Amino acid sequence: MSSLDDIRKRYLNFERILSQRPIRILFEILVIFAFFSFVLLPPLNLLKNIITDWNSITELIFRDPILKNTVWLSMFRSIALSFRIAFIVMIIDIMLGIPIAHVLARYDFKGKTIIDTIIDLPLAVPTSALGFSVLLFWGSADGLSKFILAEEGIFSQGPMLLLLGHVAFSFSYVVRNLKGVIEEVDVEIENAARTLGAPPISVFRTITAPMAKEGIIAGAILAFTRSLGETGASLLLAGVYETAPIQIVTFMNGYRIPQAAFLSVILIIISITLLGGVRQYARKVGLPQPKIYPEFERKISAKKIAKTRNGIVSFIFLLLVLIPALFVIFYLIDVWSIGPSGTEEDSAFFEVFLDSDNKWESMQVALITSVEVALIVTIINLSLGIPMAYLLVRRPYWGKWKVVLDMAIDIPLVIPSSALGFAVYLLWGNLGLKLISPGIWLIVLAHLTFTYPFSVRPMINYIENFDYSYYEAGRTLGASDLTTFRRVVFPMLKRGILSSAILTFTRSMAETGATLIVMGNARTVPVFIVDLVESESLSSAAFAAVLLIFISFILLLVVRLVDNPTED
Amino acid sequence: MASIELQNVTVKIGNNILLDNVSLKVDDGAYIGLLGPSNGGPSFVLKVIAGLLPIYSGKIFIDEVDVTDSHPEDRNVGFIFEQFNLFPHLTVLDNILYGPRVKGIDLTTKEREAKEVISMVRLENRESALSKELSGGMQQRTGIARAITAGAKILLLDQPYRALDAKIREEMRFEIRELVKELGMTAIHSTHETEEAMLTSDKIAVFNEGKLLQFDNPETVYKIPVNAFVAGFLAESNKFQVKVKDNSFIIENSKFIVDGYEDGEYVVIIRQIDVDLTSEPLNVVNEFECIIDKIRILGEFIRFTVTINNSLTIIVRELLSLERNNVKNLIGKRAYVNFRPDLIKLFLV
Repeated sequence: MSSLDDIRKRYLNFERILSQRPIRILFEILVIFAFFSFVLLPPLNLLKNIITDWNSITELIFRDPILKNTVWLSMFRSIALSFRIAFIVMIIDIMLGIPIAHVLARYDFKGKTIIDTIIDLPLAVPTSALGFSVLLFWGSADGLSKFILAEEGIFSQGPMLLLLGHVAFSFSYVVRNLKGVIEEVDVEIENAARTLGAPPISVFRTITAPMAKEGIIAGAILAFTRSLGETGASLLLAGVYETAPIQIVTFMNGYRIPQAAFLSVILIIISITLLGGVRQYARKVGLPQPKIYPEFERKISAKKIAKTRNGIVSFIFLLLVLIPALFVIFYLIDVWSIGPSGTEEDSAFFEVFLDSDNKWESMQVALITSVEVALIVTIINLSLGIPMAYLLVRRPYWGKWKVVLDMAIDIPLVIPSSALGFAVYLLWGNLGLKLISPGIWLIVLAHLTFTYPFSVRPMINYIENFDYSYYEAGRTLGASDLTTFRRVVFPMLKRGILSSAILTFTRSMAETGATLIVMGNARTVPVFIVDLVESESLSSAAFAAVLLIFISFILLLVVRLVDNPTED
Repeated sequence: MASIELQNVTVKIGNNILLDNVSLKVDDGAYIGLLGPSNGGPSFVLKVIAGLLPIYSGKIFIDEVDVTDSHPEDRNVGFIFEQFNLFPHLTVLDNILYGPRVKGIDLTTKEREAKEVISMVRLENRESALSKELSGGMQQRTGIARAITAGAKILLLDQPYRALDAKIREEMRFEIRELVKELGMTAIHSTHETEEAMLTSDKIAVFNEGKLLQFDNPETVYKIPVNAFVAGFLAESNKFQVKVKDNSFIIENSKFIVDGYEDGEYVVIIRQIDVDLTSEPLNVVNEFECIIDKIRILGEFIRFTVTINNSLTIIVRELLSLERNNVKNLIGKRAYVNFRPDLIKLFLV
């Protein structure tokens, strides 16, 4: 007993030593250094490469002796396509998202929890599975066409399908974000506006929207960047068209490194400028007070019209998001024992389990790779992310650095993941430091970059909401900084850490674009789905997609349970 | 021109009853205080009148028009919130002009009116400030100006001064009451402080657990409370449960004489301030010898804890007079307490 006490004492003493300011700062410098080298260095290195090889690269792209500037023209076309789609997706997401988010945030009704969960469902579906599902629903004869008795898919692969796919996977993110933003506006302030004579629509336009301005703009940026950077679903939906992220993958597949580098840099620069610019604008510019049309707004606030309006929005949500996202499940049931051709040969069961090429086995290998990568990434990012978040919220002595870091954290969010993947390849792979060749470890490095904000951002939120007086109480009772963190802060943040972890894990599980660039011979499930669709094994693709949906859905349920432990 | 009537209003959230069959009639131009513990009812009554809380059953009339089903924006009541709830993105002037703007009223004439209201609530020179640049008192004044400019004939003040410093609270109590009277508005003011209700109101309604217990002028409510809760809530009291027999009852071996009560079980409420503590016996009814156990100086009052017959503990409140020096020296000393029979309040269990 006494020796145990002794060990404890020594341990506490050790923590006291580690809590000393110089050691703590050294540790924090390490955390920042890790962030810098894992997350920021790859894109910076890419930029450096472009600058040093500027002449040869531009020669290749703008002044090729044979191709002239056709490479540049096709790049321009793909960038223009990506931006057009992202812009329209953003508009649709916000227009549909605001009413749905508002209803979810402000009204209590029967079945609200269910609808809330349904909205989140597409979050759980990896984009390549979702893209496949959208393709089946809108683009194949077995989808919506079946119900309206058409012979072929309603849309063929191309911009329209891309648009539908992007709306389907980005919508839930946007609604979730907007819902949080609207919830942050105090209901009592809206009530004040009501008692002053404003009908609900006017209240939203004059009070809620201006107060939530920054959040709504952030939601719009989210929709835009998610659409701009998406690869997995786009690969399946684009057909002969190329979006910018797809073009990076194409360049990479043809080992056309300079072209891939150039395109990546353009995307990175545009994204960051856009993000920074819009944020700055949102913060500084006060919107003029909107004009009010009292009679008209009173009329459309009437209960009947509000109900019709919500009904229409819900219908559009079902048609554009939910049904397309989950259609693959019905498709799988349909082709489980008898395939699309009407024989057993291409049924899902036969293809996956009985066929000679052993798809079940490769699927298992891909699944294991996916889980391995996601686990490693989650562990590393949490151990880097928690101290980083804590530093940003609770360490005033970092002063101006905090502002810089706070912005830098979000950079991976806006860069298309295939560009990030390429940057990672260029830095660590055999063209750069030659440390790691394509394969599972390079996948891990790539995933570390774009999941980093997903583990830090929510943590910042949780730490900000943590009542600091508990920490102070711990300190006054004689515990050192580190001991207090371990015994008081950490246990109270457990839920936040878990939901951060699951968010990071699902992001990693779902990623396609970056993985395609750095995977070498390794395969993750989302990539595997793309492969299967491209080789026309639709039934097995459906099987893999449903498997992935199922796993992610379970994780999503866990997050919800963790987030609302008392909700009944 | 603005009367309010609640008829048998019940409010439920799930199985939780917030208001239980409340009927209340407020005359035009009256200033009414709603008194009760937090969540006991007062705030819910205000929310129900404003239409911010849906009712389960009952009816509400404003100026004899049934508004039970109308929206908050159509009721024309001014709601004053505990947390002020100014629109943080608008200036003081824009906050004040919000009502006319959303109602589509011509702003040029309203702007002059708004200026008048602003000078009434003493906010000149702060017109272009944002709410975060104002003190709590200024924010609440803006809230009141905002309600007046929106054309409210009724002011619903929901614990309006709770978030303010004691000193500003004191000021506002008088200032706003006078303003309301000057403008001829009807006001309903919820609070859980007896003093505030007494000071500001023409009539007081006391609530507990969603029920309206008593509705009368402040003096009557204080002097003739209808039940033990009202008696105890209005002032700090000693409370016992006793059996009355032949106009007397016994607590812990001490016999008290009362007058005019039938035999039965009663709750006794004796307000601390109603007990008389003397150093020499006065030889009156209900006088007991006692020992002073504890003394707490509360400011204008001193609170004595005394024991009668070594077993009955009574708390007594006396004004802190200048003659008594070193009150604390009295601890452990012998003294006398007496209870005037008409100040002993008995309520049938």
